[in-house]
Amino acid sequence: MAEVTHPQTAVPVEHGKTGFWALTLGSIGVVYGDIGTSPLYALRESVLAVTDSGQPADGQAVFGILSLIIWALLIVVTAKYVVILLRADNNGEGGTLALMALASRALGRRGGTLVFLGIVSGALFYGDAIITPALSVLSAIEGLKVVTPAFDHSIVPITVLILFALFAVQSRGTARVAAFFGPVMLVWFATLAVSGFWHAMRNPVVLAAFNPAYGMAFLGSHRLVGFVTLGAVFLAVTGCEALYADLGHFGRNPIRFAWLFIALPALAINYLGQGALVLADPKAIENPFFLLYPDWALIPMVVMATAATVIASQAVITGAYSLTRQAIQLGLLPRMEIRHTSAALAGQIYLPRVNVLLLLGVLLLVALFRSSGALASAYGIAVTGTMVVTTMMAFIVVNKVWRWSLAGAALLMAPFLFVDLTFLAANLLKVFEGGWIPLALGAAVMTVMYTWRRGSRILFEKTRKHETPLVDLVKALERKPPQRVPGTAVFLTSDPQSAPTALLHSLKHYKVLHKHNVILTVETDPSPRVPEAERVHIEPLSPTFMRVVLRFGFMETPNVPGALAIARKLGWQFDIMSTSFFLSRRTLRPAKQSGMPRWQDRMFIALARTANDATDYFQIPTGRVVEIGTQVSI
Amino acid sequence: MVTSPAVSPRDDGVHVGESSPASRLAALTLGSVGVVYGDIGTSPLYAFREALHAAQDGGQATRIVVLGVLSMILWSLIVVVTAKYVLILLRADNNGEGGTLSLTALATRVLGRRTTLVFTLGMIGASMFLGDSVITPAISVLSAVEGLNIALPASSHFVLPITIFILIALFTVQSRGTARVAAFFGPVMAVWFVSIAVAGAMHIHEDPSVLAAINPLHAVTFLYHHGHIGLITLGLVFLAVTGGEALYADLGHFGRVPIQSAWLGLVLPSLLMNYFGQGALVLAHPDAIENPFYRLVPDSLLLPMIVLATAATIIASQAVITGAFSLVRQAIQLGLLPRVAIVHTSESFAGQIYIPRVNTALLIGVLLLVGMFHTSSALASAYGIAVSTTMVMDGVLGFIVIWRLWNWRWWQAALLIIPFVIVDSTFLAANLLKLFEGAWVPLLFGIAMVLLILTWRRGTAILFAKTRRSEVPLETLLRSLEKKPPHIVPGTAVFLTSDPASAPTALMHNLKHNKVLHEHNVILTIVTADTPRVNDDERVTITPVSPHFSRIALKFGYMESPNVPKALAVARKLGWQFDIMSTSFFLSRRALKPSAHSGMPRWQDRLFIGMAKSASDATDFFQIPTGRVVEVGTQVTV
Repeated sequence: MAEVTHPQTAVPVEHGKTGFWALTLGSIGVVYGDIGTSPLYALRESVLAVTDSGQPADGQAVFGILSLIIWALLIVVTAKYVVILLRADNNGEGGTLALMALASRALGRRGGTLVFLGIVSGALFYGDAIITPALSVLSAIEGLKVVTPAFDHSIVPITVLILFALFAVQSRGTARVAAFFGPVMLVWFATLAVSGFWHAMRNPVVLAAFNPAYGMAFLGSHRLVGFVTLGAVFLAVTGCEALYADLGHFGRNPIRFAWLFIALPALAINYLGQGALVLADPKAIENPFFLLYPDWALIPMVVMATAATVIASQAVITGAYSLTRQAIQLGLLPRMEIRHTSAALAGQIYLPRVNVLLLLGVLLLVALFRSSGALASAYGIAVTGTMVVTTMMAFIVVNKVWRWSLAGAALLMAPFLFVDLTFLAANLLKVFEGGWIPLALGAAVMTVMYTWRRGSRILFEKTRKHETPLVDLVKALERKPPQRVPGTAVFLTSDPQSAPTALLHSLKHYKVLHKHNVILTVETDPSPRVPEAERVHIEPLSPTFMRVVLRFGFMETPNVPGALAIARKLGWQFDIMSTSFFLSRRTLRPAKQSGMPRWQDRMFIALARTANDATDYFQIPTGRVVEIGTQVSI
Repeated sequence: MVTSPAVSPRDDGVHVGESSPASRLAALTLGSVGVVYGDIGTSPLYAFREALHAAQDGGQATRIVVLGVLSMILWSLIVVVTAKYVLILLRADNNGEGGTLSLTALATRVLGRRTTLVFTLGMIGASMFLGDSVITPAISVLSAVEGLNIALPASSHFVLPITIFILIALFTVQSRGTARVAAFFGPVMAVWFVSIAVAGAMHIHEDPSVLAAINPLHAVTFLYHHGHIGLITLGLVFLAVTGGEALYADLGHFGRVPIQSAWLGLVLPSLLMNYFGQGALVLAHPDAIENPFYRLVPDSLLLPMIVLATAATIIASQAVITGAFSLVRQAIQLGLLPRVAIVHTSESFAGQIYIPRVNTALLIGVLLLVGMFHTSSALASAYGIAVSTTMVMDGVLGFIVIWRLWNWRWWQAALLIIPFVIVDSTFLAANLLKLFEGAWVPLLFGIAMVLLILTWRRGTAILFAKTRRSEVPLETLLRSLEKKPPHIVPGTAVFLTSDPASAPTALMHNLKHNKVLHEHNVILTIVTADTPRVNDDERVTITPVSPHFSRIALKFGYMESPNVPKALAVARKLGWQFDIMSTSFFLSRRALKPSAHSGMPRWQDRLFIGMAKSASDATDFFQIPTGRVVEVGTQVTV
């Protein structure tokens, strides 16, 4: 099977060249979209968690909730992520998978537990990637309800339309519009701060919420209800794991600066403003975010919020592409078509299949839940799960890489783990209301990853036996040549070192060899285009065998006949009408005895069938192609 | 590729022994009660309630409203089900088979040519029938379990989980086949119809004036006075006749007379009694409107009734699922859908089939609907639009058949059918009002089906045109090979093909690209017989064609899993020298590629390729040792 290697992406932004301010602005657009749109629903859901249980949303409750939100932002986001985790980079890259690699390197072995933890957090991220767009866009459009009740029926259709459009434009690439993300989000944070400040100043007592005692007192007096509320409070910090995942794109300092001086103050002030509004007018709890604004500003704010949530969703979608590619490279998922959308940035990619699956998931969620309030109950579990995993891995890194003593590392990380576990427990209360969705999705993704890993290993073991080094085979054939038939046979293969299965099959079942034989490999280069002079590499192996490597850039569509025309100039006499191209295919069949249960066999076979076949795009005339298939039982 | 058998489509839901005509008729009638009337028989659970809710429009359920709704239900049952389906369409059978697709085939035959109009009508009708099969299990099981809300109000949280559990269980057992339990379906449904008749009859005396609803004027005046609300109500009245189309689809299984006698003798009277009982109850106790069906039953009998209703709705869902399997198989045989794996679950009945992929798709659809709508009331807004579309299509196709096949004058046929089409279209219009509330779901499902069918038809036509050119009759090839023999290599080559008359593509490829011919060549065809098993002496047929070539046909029963090496061992006894270690089995595969210039837009190319890929490959299951198999693939652009 001819295989195209995908390049390791270069980090999209060159650190040295781009200035600090440009990176800071960029990080505001990409990193803080998700957490920056949480004010749309986080406070409302928290207060409703109290009132829905029949207790009044009195001053004490509002102060308690505000205090919990502010301290969640300070402890979870600022202390854990911004101060500590941003230091734990793997050659400048962040994110759970990078952390996993760092930790397993520190442990000196490929620990099964760590890989498992990595798979768990990766799988949970997909749950997140479908909830974030659904929840945030819905909550932005729900602002229309405040404008006029006439819009009540059109909220779901408008949301569906926007989400549809968002996913439809993904194939065009986002490089052109991404430049606006930063400025738009900057304006968004500014409006958050201004509106919050306005209301907070009219009721300055809310500032007392900075006192953590209010939060503690609330949890103490409300007990189970307080615990449930904690699950909703957590909505205020969802999205903060993105600032760690995107570390490689922007660098530590721009991300820190953007958080400490722009995002954090704006968020804190806005929550305080919402608190002041609810204290002054308890009825405002219907939608405390949009009610911060005067009537004339409502429509512009709905537009603004929609833009911000679209940007936030974009960041999550891009994250899902990157994660999928990493997972493919780590051998956790079957190969899928990866399209590059920009010649300038290798990291700008688009995965059609992931895009379609995400869109279906998002639309399904919107159809099932229909309001951001209902969807909020599904949100959180995946993120808290990821956070717990991250904290545990960070402990290993602090202990082994930073060489802190066990006690010191424990002392540093235990409080965070305690907070994360508390949030996880609070979110687990929502399992039956909707939290099962990200859990089920995560479990499904994990099963897929596990099956793919296990099946690939079994397949590798089975096929390795049949592999013969090409050079040995050629020698043997030259010594004792079989019957020759006229013409040229080109065998496409991804591994130029061993004999292609199509060749072995011809020998076994046809007992003949062509007059000329070419082992052809197509490689994808990490650069966007490859000059013609470097396109073809020919290496003769024997009078009748040669090895040819064709190289294409990641933005080029491989055109094999075109490239072979160049080969002719290099002296290879090549006539396409007397040439047959042989592709090796593998058909898998479930075996009665294999390492996996039968359902897993079938799942693996189905996955392998969906794996994208690079040879589909080589533009070889179909009349000259023979696919030689072997059956392998797995 | 290997042809799948044209299994005789006679699905026998019930076991009919060899016995006297009278007891045979009785057995078939009982069987039809179990299979055909499950859906329409469980409509009383929700139809009257929903129609009345819509009709009272937030106000009181006055006598005019109740009588109007009852009258509409009564006359819908008489006009749509009794007159149109039971009396007229049941006569329009295609060799004993009924259903939209059979009607389409019949109409095509009598017109003497394939017309786009007839094809489109049939395709839409069939697609919508499938759209419906997703809703029926969801709404009927939900409405039965919702009885718990009355019996044990504390258990209302469990309605949804119990429903989902029942549905998953129902779809899981499909793979085992239903032959063993199907024998109970008829008796259970008969008990059901008697119980709802008795439950209704006990309440009619509370307000006997309800019988006045027999007068169609009540229906007409209600519609006339209520305008828009009247039309909305009509959309919900239609719930009482949904399932009526099933009695036509199942015609082939039971025959006309049993279906007709079951309807006129048991089902229709029971339904009418029950609806009248519900009407009288609501007139006497207006608060019963919350769930008039279960309120008919005394408290002590409530739980048994819920269990019986659940059983009845499961049977109804079973009928719909079986119907979907049959319809998909018919569609595959007509070339409207790609071949998918069909599993036979019973040795004695060729018609007992199970289609894993359809089962999964239905289960997902049903669970989604339950997840989206939560209650049977909410689901009622999604129900009806697909059925009423199917009914309109049936009506128009019926017109063609009556006109051309029965040799009526066109205006006579029109005079007979047009009133029905008007009624159906009115129902369709009424159902369209629910489009945004939920009716878009089955519509979307139906449209997706139409899209799949269109793509498959167009794609296969393009593919056929492209591959026909490269097809060579085997005899022609042999003659030219004898004139100019290629290089001969030792060993035996077995080519598996579905068309023994023309040269397999794998053979053509060997000659073209490898320029070789094996010493012995066998063109092997696998035939699936109509019988469950085939005797060993009938298994193999060998026809020598030339010194190098012979044709072999292997015959397997539909319950056997084809084992080619074993069957070839039988062939050895017939004189064919065969050594599996020097034999190569060649399978021809076709890999499709989208092309820039084809009859279809690019997305449709891809959809077609996806469908073609998903088509099941019979050769996967022939148990040939993998080391001896070579799959020779050609690429074809579509």
